[in-house]
Amino acid sequence: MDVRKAIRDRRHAGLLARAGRGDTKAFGSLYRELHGPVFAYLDRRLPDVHDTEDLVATVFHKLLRNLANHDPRKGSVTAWLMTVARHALIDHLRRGRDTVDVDALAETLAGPARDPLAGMIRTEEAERVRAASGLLPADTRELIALRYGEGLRIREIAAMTDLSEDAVKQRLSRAVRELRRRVGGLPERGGEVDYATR
Amino acid sequence: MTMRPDRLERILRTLCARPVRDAGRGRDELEAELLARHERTTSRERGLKMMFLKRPVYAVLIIAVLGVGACTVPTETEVEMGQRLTYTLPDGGDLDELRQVASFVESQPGVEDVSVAVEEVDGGPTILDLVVWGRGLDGGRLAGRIAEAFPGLADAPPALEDLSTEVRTSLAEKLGHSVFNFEIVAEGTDDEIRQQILQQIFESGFGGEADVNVFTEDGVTTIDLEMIQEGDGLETEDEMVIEVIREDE
Repeated sequence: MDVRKAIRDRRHAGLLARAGRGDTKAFGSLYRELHGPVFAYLDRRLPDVHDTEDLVATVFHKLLRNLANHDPRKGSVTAWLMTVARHALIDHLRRGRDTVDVDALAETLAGPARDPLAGMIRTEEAERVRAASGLLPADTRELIALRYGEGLRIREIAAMTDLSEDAVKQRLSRAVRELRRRVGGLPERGGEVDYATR
Repeated sequence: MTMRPDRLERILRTLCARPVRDAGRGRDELEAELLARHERTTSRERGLKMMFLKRPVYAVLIIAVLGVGACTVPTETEVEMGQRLTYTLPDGGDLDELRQVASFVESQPGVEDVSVAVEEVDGGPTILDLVVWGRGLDGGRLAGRIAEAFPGLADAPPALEDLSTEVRTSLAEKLGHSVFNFEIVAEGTDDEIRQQILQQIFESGFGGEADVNVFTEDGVTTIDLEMIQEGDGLETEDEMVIEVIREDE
């Protein structure tokens, strides 16, 4: 158990409860703590920063309208808000299309880096991982991006994606095993490590 | 050569957590907008916040006031909720008798609900606090009836307080729209109460959108009721969130 995250979750739940009772200062603190993760999640998946800003605003307005609706027993405020962000992103991607672009949800792992400097420090090994990850299904790439990019916990990813915690763990473990096999020549069923439970 | 697990994790973190753009001014502007909205919303809600003492039957009374329209000038609307009668009994009181007072008051015409709190202070007086919910109640007349039925209270005239509040809402006077009142009584689990409230809202003839959420935490039940109804010919809408909090006795 990550104690820092547990303490953070408890603080967020307290701020949310106070904000729900009319404490504007608590709402401001909550906003300042959660804006970064929400902005990062959306910005990594959207090419236009104005779209990112619009969706961030949508997410926090929804938070404001639902201050009293969050049940802390069902998950952290972060997980709740990231779920709202993911739904907002799906709605955004759906607009004007018949289906959701799942690759956009999985963006950040196999897509091109936005920062040119990032390209310069890439190693050959990293390139192999990137190439191998591109062969994974988009929904699996999304799980990896949420886990390693946004630093979310298994239960938070499960809440966001409507999967069970066991399913998330299993898919992540399988994906990492597959990547190791493709990148390093690992036998298909050998050297299994349960990364997802860390 | 097989890649070490920790090496793979590091690479995945580097690949996934690519830099994000600067949120900059947009973050500050959104913060200012959200805080202003939060302040507006909660100050409006405060006027309608009611405290309920615990009763054996889980009953909730909601008096909702919905302003419809898009008038930019807020209007003060008084919402009558009931009467509070506070008795100070220097010689204490018989608890059984005080409970009978509550039953008596509850049976009076126009009374929707009664909450009772008795505070006994060592060496001091006993305070009997009656919160009587209902519209059109006359506190003085009610106190008179109580004094007739319970002579022990006749020598301790109660302090009376109107339970009414000024509600700031953008009622569009120019539209001639009236305040929309209704009362709801619900009981059961949070979800059952939510269903009953929704049902009663729509049975009352309300034709807009209603969102009800019931949430209990640490013995405090919070009911958020959000109703939105667009005014005729108006593109904008007015909404009001009503919060009812019931506390343990």
